[in-house]
Parts: sequence; structure tokens; C-alpha cells
Amino acid sequence: MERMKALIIVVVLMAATLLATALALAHYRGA
Amino acid sequence: MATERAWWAVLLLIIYALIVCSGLIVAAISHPGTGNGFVYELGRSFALIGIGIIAMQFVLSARLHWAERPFGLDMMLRYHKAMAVLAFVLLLMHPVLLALGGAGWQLLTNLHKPWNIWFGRAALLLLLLQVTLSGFRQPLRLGFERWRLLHNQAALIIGLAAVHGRVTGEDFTTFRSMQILWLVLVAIVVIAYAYHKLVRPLSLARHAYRVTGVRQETHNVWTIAMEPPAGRKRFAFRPGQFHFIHLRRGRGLPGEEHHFTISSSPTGDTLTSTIKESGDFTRTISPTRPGDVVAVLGPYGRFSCTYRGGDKDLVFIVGGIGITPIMSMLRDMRDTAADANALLIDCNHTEGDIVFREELDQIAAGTRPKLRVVHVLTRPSGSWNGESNHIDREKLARLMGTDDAKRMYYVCGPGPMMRNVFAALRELGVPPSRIDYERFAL
Repeated sequence: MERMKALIIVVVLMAATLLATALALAHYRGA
Repeated sequence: MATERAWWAVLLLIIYALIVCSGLIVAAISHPGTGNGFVYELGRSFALIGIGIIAMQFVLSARLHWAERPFGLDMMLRYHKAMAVLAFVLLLMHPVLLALGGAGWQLLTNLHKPWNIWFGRAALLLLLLQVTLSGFRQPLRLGFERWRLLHNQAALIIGLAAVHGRVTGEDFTTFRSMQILWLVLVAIVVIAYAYHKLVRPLSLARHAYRVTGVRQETHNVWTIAMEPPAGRKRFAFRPGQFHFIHLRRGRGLPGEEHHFTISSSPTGDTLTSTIKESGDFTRTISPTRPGDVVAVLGPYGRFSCTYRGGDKDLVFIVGGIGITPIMSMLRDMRDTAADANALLIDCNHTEGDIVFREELDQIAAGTRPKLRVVHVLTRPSGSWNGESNHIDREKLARLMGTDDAKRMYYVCGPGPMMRNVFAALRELGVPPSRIDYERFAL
């Protein structure tokens, strides 16, 4: 059960990290 | 040990994120102010990240021991699935954002586009096909072997996308650093794919194990025993782990690779898997003969009471063939004279379905571990005077007694049975941190 919770947290964090990186760099480069 | 594993997991995740974001980072350094506008750049960023994720999918699915160890292969493949959906969404947004950002909707609608745009479109369509086939394999009634054959073609996606990006993307056509990075990503994919699909299978075939025995356990359950070739040692494993076996028996019998739990104890030299006839392949297990060749790849998985270590109070709740990882743990506890108190609740349909009944009784007759076995039958015969019906809160509470806040629960069985057990344990106030489980489907 703990491992499933950890997996969900990792997936959400990774998706958030990747999206945040994409947004930040698009803002930086597109300026 | 647990802390070391956690740090290794964090390090792997950081490396993963860095590789996935590498395209963005190098592009941002080499070409900061493009003047294309935010939306257009977001479209390009999504493509760079999406393709980074797709490239790493080949690493995630390559069954690399060093990468799998802190997570378990089952979780790694679930992560692979989740990331495939994320990559698909990002790559679908890529042309939409480019269109919104100034490229115009004809990017999506115009059929008279150069071949490199069509490569990108084809890659996206193939990705949609792969995500659909994998996400809806069961409703689509797609057999595992056929699905695997189709899924192997996913390499085409990265090929098409790599060419599309290299020829179309302004960053790649202009900057040497991006061209080098592109080559590195392609190399990662090629190495992971070639190792997983070619190099390792060849090496496993060269050092193939031999079947040393085939034993019938019940009317539809068989145990096959395997030993490594002369002069080589069997790989080390923890009780409860699984391996992939690829039987090459000839005689017209299918030679497919499947994963099965290791049912033997790590203390012995022989490796056994106990297999229930439940599908096209497993129905052909019985004609396996001693001397047959079998390529074995393992161990994988994290479902083992030895990972925690030191737990003295254990409850195993299993359904049907879900007994196999627990049997490995119990055999190990017997062989190492473990000072533990264990309760096994073994659910089956009929008495004839109970696997390892005699051996379980023998272990229960010993003192290390102290084992109590309760068989629960859902379709008992008239003469059965043991427990019957499905597992529920009342039955668990009665069989287990009061939860002492130190007890660990291990659950393995068919999906509906496991859901019942989880619900009952939750109602009894057992926190998820003290429940470990394994689903056989990867």
C-alpha cells in the first residue's frame, strides 16, 4: 500500500516538475 | 539499508528528470531569446520533454536490476504506463500550441506538408495507438503475446520522432550542442532496446537453465524445478520475488517468456516456480519434461518480508495461486528457523484447489516459525468442517485476534479478493503502512 502511495506521489511530482520546467523555459526563451 | 535504498531511488529520479529535461536545458542555454512568443515556445518545450520521456521509456522497461531495485519492477512498469500518458498529452499539445503560437492551423489540417511533418504526425498516431492498446488491452481482448509483439514496435515512434525533430526543429538544425544531445538520446534508446531485446536474451540462452523436475501439485497446478548449467551458480533472490522464464521445449510447445513467482526457498540450490493453468501458455506447462531448456531472468519485485526484517508477527492472506510468494517466505523461515509468529489465511474454492497443503501442515507442526494455517473455502463440500465463504471483516477479526500495532500483513491473490481484504483490514483499523501486497499482472 505504501509503495502505491509513493508511486502516485512520484508520478505527480515528476509531472509537475516537467510541466514547470517547460513553462519556465518557454517563458524565458519566448520573451 | 532502507535509507540507502531511498537515497538511491531519489538519485535515480533526479537523473531521470535531468535526462528528460536535457533537451530543454541545452536549448535554453544555446538559444535563449528566440522571439517566437510564449505559446509557440511552450509547444516546442512540450515536444522536447515528451520525446525525452519516450526515450526513457525504453530504459524503464529494460528490466535493469540496478534501476529496478529500489522501486520494484511492478511499480516501475506502472510508472512507465503513467509517463506514457503524460508524454502523449504533451506531444499532442505540441502541434496545437505551435498552431496557436503562430504556425497556423494548417499545420494540423493541411495534407500537403513535407515528409518531415508527416513523420511527426505518424509518430503521434503510433503513440496514440500504443497508449490505447496498452491502456485498454483487456477490454479490447488483446492477448498478452499479441500485445507484446505490437508493443515492441514502439521503437518506430522514437525513430520517426527523432528524424522529425532533427530535420524540423530550429534548435536541431542550427545548434551543434542540440545535435549532439539528440544523438545521445537516440544512443540511450538504441543501447537500452538492443540490450533488452537482443544482447541479454542471447546471453541468457547461452547460460540457459535445465528443467530438473515437473510435479503436479493439484488438478491444475504444476511445479517446475530448474537448475543452472554446470559450473554456474543460481542467482541470489529473496523469498517472494519473481523471475521471467522462457521455456524452449520444442515438440510444438509454445516458447514464450512469462513471469512467475519463485516458490522455492533461497536456501536451496534448486529454483522452482509453481504455476496454475489459467491461460493459453500455462495450460501447456504439464508436458514440460526434465532436460528441457529454460532461460531464466531474475530476480525482480519487492514483495518479501525480508525487506523489512525483524518483524516477528506476520499475517499472510492469500487466494489461490497467490500462495506461491508466501510459500517461498514460509520455506525460507523454516530453513532459517526464523523466530516468528505467523498466521496464514489461505483461501481457495475447494479442498482440491489447496496447494502445498501437506508441506504447510509440516511447517505448522514445527516451532520455528510458529505457524497457524487456516484454510477458507468458498465452495466447500458437505464434509468440510473448516472455514468457508469469502473473507470479510468479521472473519478476519475472529481469525487474527486483536491487531497489536506491530503486525505486518502480506496479501496476494485475485483482484476482487484483495480488494475485499484491503477493505476489511481498513475497517479493522490496520494502517496501509503495515500492508504489503503483490498483484501478479505487470
